[in-house]
Amino acid sequence: MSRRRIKLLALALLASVGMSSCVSVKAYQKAYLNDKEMALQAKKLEMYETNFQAYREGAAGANGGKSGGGCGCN
Amino acid sequence: MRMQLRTLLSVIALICVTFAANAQSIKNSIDDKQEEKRKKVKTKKSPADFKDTEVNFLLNYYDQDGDHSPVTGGRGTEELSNVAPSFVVHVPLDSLSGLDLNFGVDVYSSASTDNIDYFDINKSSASSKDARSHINAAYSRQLQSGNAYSILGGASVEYDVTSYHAGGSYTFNSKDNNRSVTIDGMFMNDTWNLLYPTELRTGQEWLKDDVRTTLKFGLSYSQVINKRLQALFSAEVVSQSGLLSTPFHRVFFSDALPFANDNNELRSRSHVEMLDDKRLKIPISMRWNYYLNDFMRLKTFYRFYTDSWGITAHTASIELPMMVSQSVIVSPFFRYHTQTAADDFYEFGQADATNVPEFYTSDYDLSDLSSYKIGVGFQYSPVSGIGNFKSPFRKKKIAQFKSIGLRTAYYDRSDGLNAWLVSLDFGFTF
Repeated sequence: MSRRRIKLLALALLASVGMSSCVSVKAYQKAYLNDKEMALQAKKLEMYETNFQAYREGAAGANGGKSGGGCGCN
Repeated sequence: MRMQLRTLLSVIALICVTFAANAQSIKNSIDDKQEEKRKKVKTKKSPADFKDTEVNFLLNYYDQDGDHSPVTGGRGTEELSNVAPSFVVHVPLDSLSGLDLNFGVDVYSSASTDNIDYFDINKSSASSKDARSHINAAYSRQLQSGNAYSILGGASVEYDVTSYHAGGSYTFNSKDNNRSVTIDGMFMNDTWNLLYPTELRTGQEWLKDDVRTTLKFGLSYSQVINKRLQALFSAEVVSQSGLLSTPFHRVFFSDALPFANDNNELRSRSHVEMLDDKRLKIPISMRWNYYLNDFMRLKTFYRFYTDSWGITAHTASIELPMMVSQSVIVSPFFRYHTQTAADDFYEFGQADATNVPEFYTSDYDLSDLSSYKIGVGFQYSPVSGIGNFKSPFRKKKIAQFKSIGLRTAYYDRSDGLNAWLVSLDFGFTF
């Protein structure tokens, strides 16, 4: 098995292990999770950083930012 | 006399009937108007019935410098500054749907794009400044089932590139809202005006395509782990085809090495960047957000990236929002990125002139590199807002200046490129 495949499999296993220890949280128990700083998405101000990082690095995507298209960026 | 009396009485009767009829029509009209007023009173919504429209005015200043400009073959200044004002507007259409608009302009000046005519004796600076305008719109709706969908579209224009994109997403939510799965897709099309380096404008078309097409498919899964921890797992497949080279990027082969400082010789040895017309990218990422305590949160991000050009990358970041007070949040952050080089990357003079490769680039964005970014964010958002004023859009509605945000960061790349940026966010509700 190639190193790349091993890394991908390790990532998938890590994610599944992390998710498997979940507990059911009722709506009234979500005071901490509903905190605005706990949102699972980038803030509006972060979009500028996400954009320039996509231009200045060969890797982009999976974070809500540009994956292609637009101006002089590969 | 009787005739005159009859006539008079008839006239009087006629006048009375006329007045009576008119009065009735006036009364009817009054009744109608009153009825309309009553209807209006019944159906007219009070200002409190309208959900607030949120408007954020964002402003960004970005400044970078480096010494490996791809415009001059992997050498030379990469000095660039950019000012980017934009608006982000959220309009709730009803309790289930909303419209999001994002529009703005990037005004940049670039020393490297000024070198498209690098070898010309009489240089012009027409390429040193440009502006890119962009607009995006998205409609989202929550369904009775608890699921949701959105559709979006947008376009951008600058001097040599015109782009448009369209896409959509569908989200499956669990009944307890502890998990969700989102599938999304997007199509992007960029049409380029092929501007080659001036010494290579011989009439020959060096690149066969002038259109870049991007197709993106994404899958994300969010999960509440416990009362303090939730996570998001995302994966995308991005397929690009067409013009993937940048027409004004230069590459110099090994025959240029002896003349590295002789522009007259270099002029005849420059080549247009040539990259494969297909690229497949696969980024996979995870976010973990943990509520440490009432003072601090922990936000982490990791991304693994691989593509068909040979680049493999790892990116990780951490952010610690701290509630200094009920109104003030301070968020220091750190990000690290490392990547391997694309298979077709060559430094200045590295590609063999006697055995020219099929594809070649000297764009250091595609080189073997590592980078870090460090910065801090501030947010001031008092519960009652910073200030109130009369809404210019709705009668008897009070608009509010809700929040101010600031975010600044320093970015450093291992090849010597560095940058710093500062962003401001002014939040309003109307």
